[in-house]
Amino acid sequence: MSAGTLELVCPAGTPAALRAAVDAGADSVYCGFRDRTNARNYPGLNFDPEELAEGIAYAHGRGCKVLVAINTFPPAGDTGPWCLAVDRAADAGADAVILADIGLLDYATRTHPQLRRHLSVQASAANAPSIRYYRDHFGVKRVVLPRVLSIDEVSALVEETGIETEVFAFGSVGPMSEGRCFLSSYLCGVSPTSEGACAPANHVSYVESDGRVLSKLGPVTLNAFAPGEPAAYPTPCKGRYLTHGRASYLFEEPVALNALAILPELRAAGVTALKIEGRQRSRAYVTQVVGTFRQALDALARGHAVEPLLSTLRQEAEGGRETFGAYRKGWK
Amino acid sequence: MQTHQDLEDLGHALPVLAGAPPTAIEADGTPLALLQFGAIWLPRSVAHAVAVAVLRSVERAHPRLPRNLLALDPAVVHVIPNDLPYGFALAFGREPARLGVIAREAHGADATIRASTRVLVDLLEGRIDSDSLFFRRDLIVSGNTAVVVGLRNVLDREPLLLADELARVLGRFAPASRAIARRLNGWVEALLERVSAAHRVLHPREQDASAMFRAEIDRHRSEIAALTARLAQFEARQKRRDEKSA
Repeated sequence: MSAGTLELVCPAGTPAALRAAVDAGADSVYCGFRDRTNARNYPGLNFDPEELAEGIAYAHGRGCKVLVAINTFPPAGDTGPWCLAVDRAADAGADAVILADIGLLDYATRTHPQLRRHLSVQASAANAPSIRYYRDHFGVKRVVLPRVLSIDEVSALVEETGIETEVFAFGSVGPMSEGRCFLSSYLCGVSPTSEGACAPANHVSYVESDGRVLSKLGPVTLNAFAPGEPAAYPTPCKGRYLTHGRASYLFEEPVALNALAILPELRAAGVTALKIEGRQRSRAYVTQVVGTFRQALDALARGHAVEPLLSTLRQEAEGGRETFGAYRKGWK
Repeated sequence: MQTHQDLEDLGHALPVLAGAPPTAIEADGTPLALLQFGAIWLPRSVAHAVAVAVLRSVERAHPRLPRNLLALDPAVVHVIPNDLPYGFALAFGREPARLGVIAREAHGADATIRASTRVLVDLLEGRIDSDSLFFRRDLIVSGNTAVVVGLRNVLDREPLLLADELARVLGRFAPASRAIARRLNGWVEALLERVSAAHRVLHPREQDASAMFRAEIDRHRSEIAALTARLAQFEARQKRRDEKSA
């Protein structure tokens, strides 16, 4: 990667997805262990220590870095699994750990000072004093910025903090309360912030009714899709709720962030890395999205336009729709 | 609810039809034709035995797969291809996995997956993304979603190619099966082309209008995205100018 280029950080929910990401042109992949220490704690997903070591060997052999996400928040009296995860990532030769909890950052700083530390989006650090605090006290080298900032705000943060910034470039978007969302816990007792799972699948069901498909989280019906209507994830933030007799998406519409068209602006803003969301998605998704972004970044580096790629990923987008999210802040 | 015992695997005692070294069947749709050929013409008990043999062969070739299936919670998933006369039941979790052939209307699954055979094979082989299919409603899941998510994640960890798995099971019969399947593919494609041509003759405007409409929408989408990007650049440039002049 040369100066002025954007690092492509890609999701790996499984060893197969890791290989797919590396082969499709990722500069870095991020992954997590098979437990609640990471924010994608779903059945059948993630890595055991042996798989992580194999994955790191595969990636390093092809010039790709591996970042380990340990980005949920340990509950009182049970910090052991989180510290163990940091130890295991260090032992396996990970290039960095992505952390959110301040106590765990302290543990990693003291126990593995040589292990690079990134600040997870789950830490929700969205202003300069906050980021500088993590930088100065825990030697954080990179911050993953929450999806609440416009490009101008990202640019200002880059200038004010002087550390690497990583921003989301593609994937599903929530109501943008990163690291603070407990919404699904009101319906099923579990949230991404505490147990690493938003709307966990064992509480989700689909029911056919009058030709429509109802998506339910626990006992609550979140949505009803007419035949042929694009579906959404069954998360409370993307429920369609009745107000004054009319059903509408009150919090967030089923739509995916896609920053392909604004890559030049993100680069100009001084961003270091682009993050592709989707560790819970398949290796087919990884291949498609990473490959497209690799093409776009290569085109950009050669001074070519990325326009021909703009509609490539619509099929992978939630609800079949795309947005620039907060980067444009069109609602202001 | 079905149990592992209910899915008593009829083919468990049958040896895998090995003898010759495995011969890969090209990924040209041949496995699909083989599946469809088998489903239509083979007696159900034989299809069942083949399904079981394929599962055992897959487990031998991908030793982490049975380990990962064992780690899941016990469940039975029915997989119902839209275009086959019967479906499959897969039981897994805490005990060795069992695969069986079932009637399309069978009950007792924890979860059921419905899609075309082509979609299901593409999913198994990691060529398409299940969430994208779900968004488009090309994949219908009912019952306990966690069971399906867990199974999807475990299968997606393995580089499965149905052609290779079938070739391993069929052993020395693979080349003959391949030839039959290719012939079948040819017949099916020719038939589909005839049906499609007839449909075009009967509904020319609908076909043309639909294709033109889709192309037009795609063109407008691309143009809007490009214009939006350019507008943002102009806005950023103007903002910098304003700041300088201020």
